[in-house]
Amino acid sequence: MHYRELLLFLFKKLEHERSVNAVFHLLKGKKSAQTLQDAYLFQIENFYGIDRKLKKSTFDVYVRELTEKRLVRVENDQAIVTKQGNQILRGRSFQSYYQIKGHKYHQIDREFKQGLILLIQTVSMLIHGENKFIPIVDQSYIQSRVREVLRDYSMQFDKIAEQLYGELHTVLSTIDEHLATVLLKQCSGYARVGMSEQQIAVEENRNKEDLHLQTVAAIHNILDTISEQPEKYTLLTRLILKKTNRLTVSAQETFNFYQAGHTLEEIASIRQLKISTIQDHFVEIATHKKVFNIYSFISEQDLNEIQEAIQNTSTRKLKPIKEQLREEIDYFHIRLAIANMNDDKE
Amino acid sequence: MNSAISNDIDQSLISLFGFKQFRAGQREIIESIRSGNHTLATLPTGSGKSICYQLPALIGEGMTVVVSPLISLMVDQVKLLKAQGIKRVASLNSMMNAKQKSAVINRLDTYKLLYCSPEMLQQERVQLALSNKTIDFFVIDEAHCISQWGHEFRPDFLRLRDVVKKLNNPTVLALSATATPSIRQDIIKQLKLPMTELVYPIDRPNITFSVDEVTPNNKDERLIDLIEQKNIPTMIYFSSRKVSEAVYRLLQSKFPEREVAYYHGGMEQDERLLIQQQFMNNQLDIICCTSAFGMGVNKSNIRLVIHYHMPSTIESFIQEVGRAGRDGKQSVSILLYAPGDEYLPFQLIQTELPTEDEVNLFLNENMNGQPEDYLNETKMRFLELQKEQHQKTQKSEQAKRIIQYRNDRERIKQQSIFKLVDWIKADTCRRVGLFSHFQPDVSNAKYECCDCCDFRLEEWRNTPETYQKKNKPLRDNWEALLGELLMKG
Repeated sequence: MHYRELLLFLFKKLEHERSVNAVFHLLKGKKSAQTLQDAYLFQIENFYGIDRKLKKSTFDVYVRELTEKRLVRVENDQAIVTKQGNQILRGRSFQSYYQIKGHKYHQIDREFKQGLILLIQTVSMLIHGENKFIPIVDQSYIQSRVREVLRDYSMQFDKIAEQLYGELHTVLSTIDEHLATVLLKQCSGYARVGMSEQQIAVEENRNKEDLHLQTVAAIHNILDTISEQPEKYTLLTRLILKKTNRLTVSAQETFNFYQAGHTLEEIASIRQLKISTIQDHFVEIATHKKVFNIYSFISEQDLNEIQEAIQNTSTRKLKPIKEQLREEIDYFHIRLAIANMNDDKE
Repeated sequence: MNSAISNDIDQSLISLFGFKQFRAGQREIIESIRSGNHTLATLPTGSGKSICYQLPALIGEGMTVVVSPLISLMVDQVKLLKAQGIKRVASLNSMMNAKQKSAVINRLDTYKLLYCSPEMLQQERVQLALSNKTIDFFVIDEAHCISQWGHEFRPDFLRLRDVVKKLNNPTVLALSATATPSIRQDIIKQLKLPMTELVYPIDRPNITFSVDEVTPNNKDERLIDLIEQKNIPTMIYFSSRKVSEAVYRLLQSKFPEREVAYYHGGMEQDERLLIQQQFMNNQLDIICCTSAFGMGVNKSNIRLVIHYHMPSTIESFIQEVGRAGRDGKQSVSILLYAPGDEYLPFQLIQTELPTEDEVNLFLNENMNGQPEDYLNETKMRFLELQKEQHQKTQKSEQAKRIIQYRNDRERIKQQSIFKLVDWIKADTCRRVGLFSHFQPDVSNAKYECCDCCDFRLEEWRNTPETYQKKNKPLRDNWEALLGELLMKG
């Protein structure tokens, strides 16, 4: 799987609509209302936040390469996919690329991977009687989670090793063999220190970013399986560090006022912000919060009409939808309706 | 000497660190501070400097505060101690967030050893919390940073003498691996304390020195020739991250059967940790790195240290070469020098020190835009600290003073480079040239001495050498990998 092709696909999705940098923000998982909404609007939410450490300079190198290979043309800061570019994309679906689910897992995948790596290292060391070693993961909250897990098992290392082996064997059997190998090569244990993504990339003659995609895919596949049957993967499930709040700080504040009984207009005046900004917040809230009642902003009938219009135009671009609707239904309503379609709320 | 105390520390050396014997200097330094003498000590890198304060700290009644300019070094030390099962240690530095800092400050009672950055020690909250505790020892690591004559002068180190007072005058231990006699004098003067000086030679008799003069165009070729014959654990130092990666790629392609890696400060923390551990675990043959690598790295069997670029000072050269041959066996240092190489460190000074215009712009409050937009981090830090230091100076004088200071620093840094260039171009004994700045006598080489005495690089280069590797081949199948990780035997 190639990063380059993924970028090409994403540029195609945002063609004529958004700037080149929108793709960068998407991959980085920028916590802005715009980026989040675009992800759903253009149905590329699977790739939201899948490369949170992406550097702008790296991204720019890829864009330059795509341009030099004449797969993409940059005009007015927008990327247009050329004929050759379209040929590469033809007949291939990237929508569910290796079942990566950025929107769902971007806040927990890195921590899960690190927790897994540290647990494997610790258990591997302990079953070999090595109790003094330098943890390969630095973050103290991950270290304390692993410590908790060990304590839950009353430090019976052999038992943990057996169960960890069992659960990993079962879950890795369900995913692509190559992805499983890539992930395990990054793990450290008694016999050896794991490899970095960069080192595996050299071995396989690929780009470092390609390897990152493979790792993310492996982790997301594992998370999919274990969250379907958590009772079967009790040890691995313990490594999921729940982060519940997906709202930006400012949207959270708006939500707090809303829950305290204030109207949209009141919140705007209290917070000294523009109405449109507060509307952005509500779209974000509607995207992520199950408890949010959309009907306080839109009638059931209007919502149905908008949903119909979306079906009819088979697009998520706002303008063609708006053109089909009554004058009274404004862009805010349409955006709320689209946000409401997200089925992954908390 | 009181034998009860000696026994005490001998026992602790075994129980805490697992060593049966003290290395040169350790016992004397420990006994000196345990008898309450303020002490200034120089010991070579890799000779167990840190045990000199870690041991007394752990067996003392109160607590020990260690100040170090290198945050990564402090973090590494804490990690190493924890890995050894010594848990009552913590660090306090600007890389931590507010919550993490408070957690440490609120739990001061639970620590025996606290590593602290000089900035953090300036904070009133920290000073107040510490002044309520019994501080046995106050340790200043890299103490040469106190001296203005030093190449690494840190103005915030000058304020340490006030901190010592505020902490009710604990016994001070100032440590350095690279302090010339004049810098040692200056340290004592700046701290305004009567100090016992314990000076141990920093030369390493088992390292052979050589300078290889090349042309800019055949540097890579010479490097490849060398690596080809010498399949031994090797470090290659660079001043540029970019070049370290480029040469890494070159070596990778030329020697696919060797394990080569690169390491520099621009990499992600996770990746750095992996590479460092691979190196320690003998999984790598060659590492291409910048000076960011090596702190806290105590690998015993490094046989060859190559400098692809010359460093900026004799002191950092000695430090970097000092990573070789910690096991006491013969090791070789080779500095590849092409005429004009000194241009790079000279240029580096200009990226570290603000220009006169930049000083003026920074001080001018009416200008548009943020200074961060046109100044790099090092220059920003330099100017912010200077501005703070000259708070009480008249506005009209400020710029003049800061520029004066800037020019002084530039001159000292340039002189450091010239000193190293002189050493490179000299035709007299390399060991004497390097170490006589620091100590009156330089001991004889245990093996060959240097290219100016008895070492013939060409001859050595053409003698193939290889070493026994522990590497097991990595399986390419996930089930085998999983078994290797989680099954015994």
